[in-house]
Amino acid sequence: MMKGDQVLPSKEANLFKQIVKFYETKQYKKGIKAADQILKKFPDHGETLAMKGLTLNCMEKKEEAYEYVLRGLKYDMKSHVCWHVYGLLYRSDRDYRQAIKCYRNALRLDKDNLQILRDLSLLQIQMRDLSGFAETRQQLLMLKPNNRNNWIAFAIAQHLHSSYDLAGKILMAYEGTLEGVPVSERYEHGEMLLYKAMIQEESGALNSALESLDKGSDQIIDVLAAKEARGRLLQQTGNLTGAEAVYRELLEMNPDNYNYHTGLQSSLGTDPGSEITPDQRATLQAAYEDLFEKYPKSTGVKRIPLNFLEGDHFKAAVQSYVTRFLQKGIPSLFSDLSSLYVSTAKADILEKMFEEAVSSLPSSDKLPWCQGETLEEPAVYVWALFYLAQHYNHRGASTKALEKIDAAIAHTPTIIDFYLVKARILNEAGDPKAAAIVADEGRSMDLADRYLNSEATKWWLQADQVESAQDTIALFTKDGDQGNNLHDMQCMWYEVEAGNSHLRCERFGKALKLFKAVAEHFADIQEDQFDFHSYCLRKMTLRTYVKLLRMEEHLHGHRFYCMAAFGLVRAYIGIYDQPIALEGSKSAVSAVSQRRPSATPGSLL
Amino acid sequence: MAVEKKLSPLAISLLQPSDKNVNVLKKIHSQIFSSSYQEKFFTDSLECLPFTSMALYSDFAVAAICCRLEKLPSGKSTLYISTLGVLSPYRGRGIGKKLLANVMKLAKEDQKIDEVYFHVPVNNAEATGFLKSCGFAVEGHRETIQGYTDNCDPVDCHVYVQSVSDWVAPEGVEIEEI
Ligand SMILES: CC(C)(COP(=O)(O)OP(=O)(O)OC[C@H]1O[C@@H](n2cnc3c(N)ncnc32)[C@H](O)[C@@H]1OP(=O)(O)O)[C@@H](O)C(=O)NCCC(=O)NCCS
Repeated sequence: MMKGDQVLPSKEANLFKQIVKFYETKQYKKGIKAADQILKKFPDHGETLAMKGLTLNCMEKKEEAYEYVLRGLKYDMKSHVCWHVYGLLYRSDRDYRQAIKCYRNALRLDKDNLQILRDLSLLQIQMRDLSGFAETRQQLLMLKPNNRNNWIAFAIAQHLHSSYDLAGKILMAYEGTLEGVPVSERYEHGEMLLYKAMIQEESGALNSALESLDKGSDQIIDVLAAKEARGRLLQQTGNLTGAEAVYRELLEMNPDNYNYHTGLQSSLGTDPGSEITPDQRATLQAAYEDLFEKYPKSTGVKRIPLNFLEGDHFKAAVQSYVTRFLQKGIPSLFSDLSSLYVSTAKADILEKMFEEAVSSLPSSDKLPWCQGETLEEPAVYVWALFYLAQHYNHRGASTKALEKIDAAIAHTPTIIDFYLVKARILNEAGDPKAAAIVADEGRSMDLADRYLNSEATKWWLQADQVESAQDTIALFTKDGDQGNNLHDMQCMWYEVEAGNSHLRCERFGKALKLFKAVAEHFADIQEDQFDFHSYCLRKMTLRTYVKLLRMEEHLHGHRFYCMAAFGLVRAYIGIYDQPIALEGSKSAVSAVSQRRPSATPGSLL
Repeated sequence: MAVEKKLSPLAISLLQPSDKNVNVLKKIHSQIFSSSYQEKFFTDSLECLPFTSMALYSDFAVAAICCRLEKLPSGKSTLYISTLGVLSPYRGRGIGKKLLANVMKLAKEDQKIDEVYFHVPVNNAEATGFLKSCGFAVEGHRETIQGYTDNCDPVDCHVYVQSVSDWVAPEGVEIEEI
């Protein structure tokens, strides 16, 4: 069919413009009406048919939508609109490969169409077609060089493509086109400068990065980020004195930020996390005594030395550290200190300390290491018992752990944390059922506490009491429709725990369903980044955007995904190995249907 | 008996029990009292707010006072304190007295209440000493408790009756409201 046949008279041409407008403003019914008006006179008008299809797609009439769009395309293969629409249809079905093909066809017919180029670039970055993305962004920049976003996006494309040099040059060229920064865009401009420094840092051009930060210092609004970057850069360039000064300034702003502490420690010549020499230890000790003078209220300043101190120094420091936690009854003391247990010597010191405390408190009301006449309040004793219970559990001594937690519960049966720890001990000692009962007892003492409710649910699942688990979790889901609600909330810990429980009980079909749900959440999370491609560019949150893209690239390394993937494999193997003929149960029946091709792992991973 | 050292009072705040945390109230009762209380006891106590209340020390409950209002033909009411208990490690530090004083203060503010009374087993020297020091008067006659307690034998009890208007708050029993 010739193109000429597809040209509408002016009245209908106006109507067509209206369809597009109705589509963009989500007035779908009106759009359909307008399309039908054109189609009454020109039933073969391709672009109208395509637009009607696109509109129908938004009214959840997918089949009809494809029908109309394909018919439109058939009548007007030479229309970029038809191809674009076809691409949009695929895009809405998340079939990005097909969508890209359609956009490319559209661009063949109208190579400089900005809208289609933009849509194509979004798909390319979503699919991580980095060279395609770079190409498209370059084309957009050449077509519209006066648009800020086109410069930035091209730079991002080169950055992601590891062409750091080019990326930096693009940003500098863009800076060169600016004649002053309007007040309203100061924040965005500062972000651009920080992003430039980030690119330089990643390329290894540390000094250029420092230079960029220095030059931009009065234009960068996010002062904190600039300072953090400076500290990092000075550190890496070997300017330790400079780095130390920056980290001290940062600690002045927030003495409890552990990154700043790590930075300070490396600038003092130690590598946090690796062995240190006695000299280095002495340096750190002096530094932290000094910090303690300055920031007596900071918990971090008191906690961090426990990592590097040894022997009697450690003992004295940890004694004064735990005293406050015990007196205030802070339940998290053990989890705060548990990382110290990599050192057996430290664990032994803690054990001795707490044992002594527990034996002296009831008679003297005093902590053995505290001088002075102050008598401790009665709860100090019970919190010390609570610590010891967790301590022994951590060291694998369940009997002692149980003894201590039972003593704690007998002393003050109203502290709910005790029941959760007892549940953990029982579970690790190999009695998940008893664990669940104790956790549920704790839960029943505060029915308004969602955390307790989740804990109890978790322990029910560990004990393979799926029904009790469902009844429990349902107390906190809307309308008691827990399955759907939990899925909507992407409640993955539940799905994974429940899936594992079904696996243990050889209900493979049910397990499969839950693990698949987890895989779906990850597909959704991946899909969710789509909106950020244009949003972050507009808002100029470039550093965060790049971090987001990288996070998405490692999404499938997430703990929940791995657990679900392992679970899926086990479920499939379980189904395969199941003796179908021998078992008349429901799960065996569903196993038959699940063994068919639709359930191959490839279809959902 | 050895002379007890005098310990400083513990700071508490009040918590109104509800159906969300009634199990804490139950825990306190099963820990302190030998008789087991039936469900009805707790539903009745929960209906008697704000008199029925728990004491929070730091952020967990260590004591409770349960009450019940008894309507009189005159239209007035008597407030019956059915239980008062402090977990043993937290005794002797002013908590019981604060809970009792709080109930008396609330009763004073309630126009309908003239009297508050209390049953105490005659052999409970601890409670007797405690009530005396809180300014409660001992009324001479004895009677037998019947009703809520179910797995113990009926016991002889003293009845302590305190007129609301005569009662004077002892010192140092103010509770900071949360
Ligand atoms: C009775 C009970 C509620 C007292 O609570 P408590 O918090 O320990 O009491 P307090 O610290 O507020 O004591 C207030 C006063 O009573 C006195 N007292 C407390 N226990 C006493 C005892 N065993 N013997 C004599 N006097 C006592 C205190 O010396 C204090 O006097 P002061 O203010 O003049 O110094 C508590 O011991 C308890 O729970 N006992 C078991 C349950 C019980 O018997 N309940 C009562 C009957 S239902």
